[in-house]
Amino acid sequence: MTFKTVFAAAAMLAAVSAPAWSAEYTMSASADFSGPFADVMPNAMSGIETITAWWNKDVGAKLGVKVNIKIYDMRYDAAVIARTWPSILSRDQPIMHLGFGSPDLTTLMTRLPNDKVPMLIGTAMVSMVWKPEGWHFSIRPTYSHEFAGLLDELQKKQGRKLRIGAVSTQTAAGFVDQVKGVEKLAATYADRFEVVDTQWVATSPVSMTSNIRAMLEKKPDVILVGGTTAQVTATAAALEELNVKLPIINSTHNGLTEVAKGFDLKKMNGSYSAFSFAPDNQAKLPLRDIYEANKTGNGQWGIITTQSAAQALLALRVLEKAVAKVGKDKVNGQAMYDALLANKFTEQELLGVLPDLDFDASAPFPVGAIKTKAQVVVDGKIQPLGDTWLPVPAFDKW
Amino acid sequence: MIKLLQVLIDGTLVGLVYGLVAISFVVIYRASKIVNLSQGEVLVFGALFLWTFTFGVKALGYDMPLWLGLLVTMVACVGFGLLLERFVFRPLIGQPAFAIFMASIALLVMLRGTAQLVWTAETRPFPAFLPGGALQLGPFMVSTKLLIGALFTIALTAGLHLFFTRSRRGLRLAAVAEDHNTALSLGVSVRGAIAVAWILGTVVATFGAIVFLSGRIVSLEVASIGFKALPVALLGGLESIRGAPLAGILIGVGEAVAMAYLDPVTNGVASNVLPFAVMIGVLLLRPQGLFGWKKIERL
Repeated sequence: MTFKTVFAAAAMLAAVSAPAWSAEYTMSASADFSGPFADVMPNAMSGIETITAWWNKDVGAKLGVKVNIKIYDMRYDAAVIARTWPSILSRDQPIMHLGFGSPDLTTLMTRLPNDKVPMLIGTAMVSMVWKPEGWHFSIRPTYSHEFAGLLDELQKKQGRKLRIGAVSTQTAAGFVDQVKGVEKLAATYADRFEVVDTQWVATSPVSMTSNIRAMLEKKPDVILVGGTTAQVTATAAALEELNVKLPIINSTHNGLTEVAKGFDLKKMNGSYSAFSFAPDNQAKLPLRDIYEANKTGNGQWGIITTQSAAQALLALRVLEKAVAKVGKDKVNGQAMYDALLANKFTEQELLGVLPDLDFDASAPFPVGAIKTKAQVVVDGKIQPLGDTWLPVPAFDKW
Repeated sequence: MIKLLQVLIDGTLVGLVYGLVAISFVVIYRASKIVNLSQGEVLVFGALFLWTFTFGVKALGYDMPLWLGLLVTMVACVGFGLLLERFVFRPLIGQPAFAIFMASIALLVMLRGTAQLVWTAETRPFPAFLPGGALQLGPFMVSTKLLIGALFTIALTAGLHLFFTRSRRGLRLAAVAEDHNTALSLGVSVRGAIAVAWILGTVVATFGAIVFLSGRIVSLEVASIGFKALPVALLGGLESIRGAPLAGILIGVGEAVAMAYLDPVTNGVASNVLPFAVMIGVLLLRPQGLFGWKKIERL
C-alpha cells in the first residue's frame, strides 16, 4: 500500500465520520467580564457554551446545522454595546443575540426590528421595556412577576393578607421598577397583599438598622430586597441586631447563592430567592446532567449557569423550529423571530429547566400562565421550595 | 422622643464610620496636599488583603490565626501605601493641582481594574472581627459592631492628634503640611513625610474596612463609601484629624434624621442628597471646612 493510498483512505474516512455540516449559523452573546457582573460571568458563559456544544453534537449534527457562539464583553455598558453592535451585525450576521440585562435592552430594543435580529435575554424583565411588537424577549417575566409567584404561595400558606416590606435603591430604574410592580400586585389583589413600607437605601449601606426598625413598626410579614447582595446582608444583619426573625425575599443576581459567599445562612433560615427557571439544585434536572457530562473549561453549575444554560437551550429550540419551517439553509433573524412567536415550547423540550413557554408580540416575555420557582434556606442550606412550578397571579402593566 | 434619640444614636454610629474613612483622606492631605479620590479603592485593597491573609490562605490549606492575618495585612498595607506614593504621587510633586487631581482619578480606575485582575470581581467573605447583635441600653438598641467601631474611631482620632501635635515625626508632618519649601529649608524630609502619610492613609482606610465590613461581604462596589466619606472630610476640614469624626457625626445624624422623617415623602432621595448638599454648602460658605486651616496669603 502506497503512502498516497493510505492518505486518500484516511481523508475519505475523515470525511465520512465528521458531521456533514451544510449550514453554520452564529449567535452572538453579551458578556460582562469587567463590569458589575464579572464575578458570575465565567459560569454564565460556561452555561451557554456547554449547552451549544452539546446541541451541535447531539441535535445539530442530525439536522445538518452548526451553531457558533461569539461572545463579546459588553461590560454591562450601554455605550460599549452601542458601538460594538454594528460590527457584530456586519461581521457575524447573527440569527439571534443572547443578551445580558438592561443595557442590552435599552440600547438595542428599538433597532432590533430594523436589524431583523431577535434578542433573547436570561435576566428577568422590567416594565420599561414591556412594549408590544418588539424583537427583544426574555426567558423570564418581570422581577415583579417572579416575586408575585412566591408571594402568592406564601399568602396562601398564611391564610390572611400578606404584609410586604420592600427595600430598594433609587440609583437604578430597574430596582425601582421591581417595587412598583409589587405595588401593582397589591393594588390588584388588595384583599391578599399590602406593601406596608418601602425603605430606599444606598447600594452598599453601612447599616440598615434604622431603616428596618422603621419598617418593623408597620409589621411586615416578609421583606423584599430586589437590589444588591450588600443590601440583603445588611437587612439580615439589621434583623439580627433587632432580634427579629422575618423571611427576606431576593432574586438571582442578589440571591441566596451570592449571599452565602460571605454570610452565615443559618441567620437567614426561612429566606427565599424567587426566579422563573428551575433551581440549580432541583432533584431531577436533565439539563444539569447534560451540562455536567459535556462541560469544558472553568465553569461550575450554579444558579447563574442554570439561567444561561436555559437561555441557550431555548434559543437552540427556536432554531430547531425555524429549521423545520424554512429548511436548514435558509434560517435568518426573521425566521428565528417567526419561530419563537409561532410555536409553544414544552417543559419536556426545555429539559425541565423552564416551564411550558408561549410567546406573542404583546410582551417581551412568556405570556399566558406564567410560572415561577423559588429556593428557601433550611438549617443554613439552600433548598428548592417544592418540586412544582408556582403559578403567578395575573396583573396588568404598571 | 425615644424614636428621635434612637435615630440620633444610629446616625452618630454610622457617621463615625464615615469619619474613620474620612481620616484616611485627611492624613494624606495633611502631608501631601493631595485629595486622593481613589481612597474608596484603597479601602477595598485593604479589605482584599485581609481576605487574602485569612480566608484566602485558609483555602490553600494554611490556617493563619486572625491576629496574624491582620498583622500581615498591615504589613501589606504599608507596602501598598509606599508603592502608591513612590510610583504615582512622588513624580507629581510640584506639578499643577489639576494634574494631581487627574492622577487620582486615573489611580481610581487603575486600582479598580487591578483589584479585578488579581482577586476577580467575585464577592468574598470578610472576617468577623467585631461581634454582631446589639446592646440593649434602657429603651435604646446600640449596634455592638458600630459601637466598638465608634470607640475605636475616637481612640484613633485622639492618638493621631497626639501624634501630629506632640511627636517629633508628627510635627515634621505638620511642617510639611504647612509648606513644602519651608519644611525643606528646616531640614525636614518632605518625601519621607509624604511616604509616612500614605502609609497612615492606607492603614486607616483598612481599619475603616474592618469596621464597615466585619462579618459581611467584600465586593468592588464597597469602594462607594469613599464618596460618602469625601464630603465628611471636606466638612471637617481637610487638615483636621479631629474635624473628620465630628463632621462624620454631623453627616451621619443628618442622614439618619432625613432617612427617618424626609425619606418617606421623598422616596429616599433626601438622605442620599443631604451629604453632598452639605458639602457644596460648606464649600461655598467656608472653603476650608469647619475645622480646616484658613490660610492668609500676603502679597
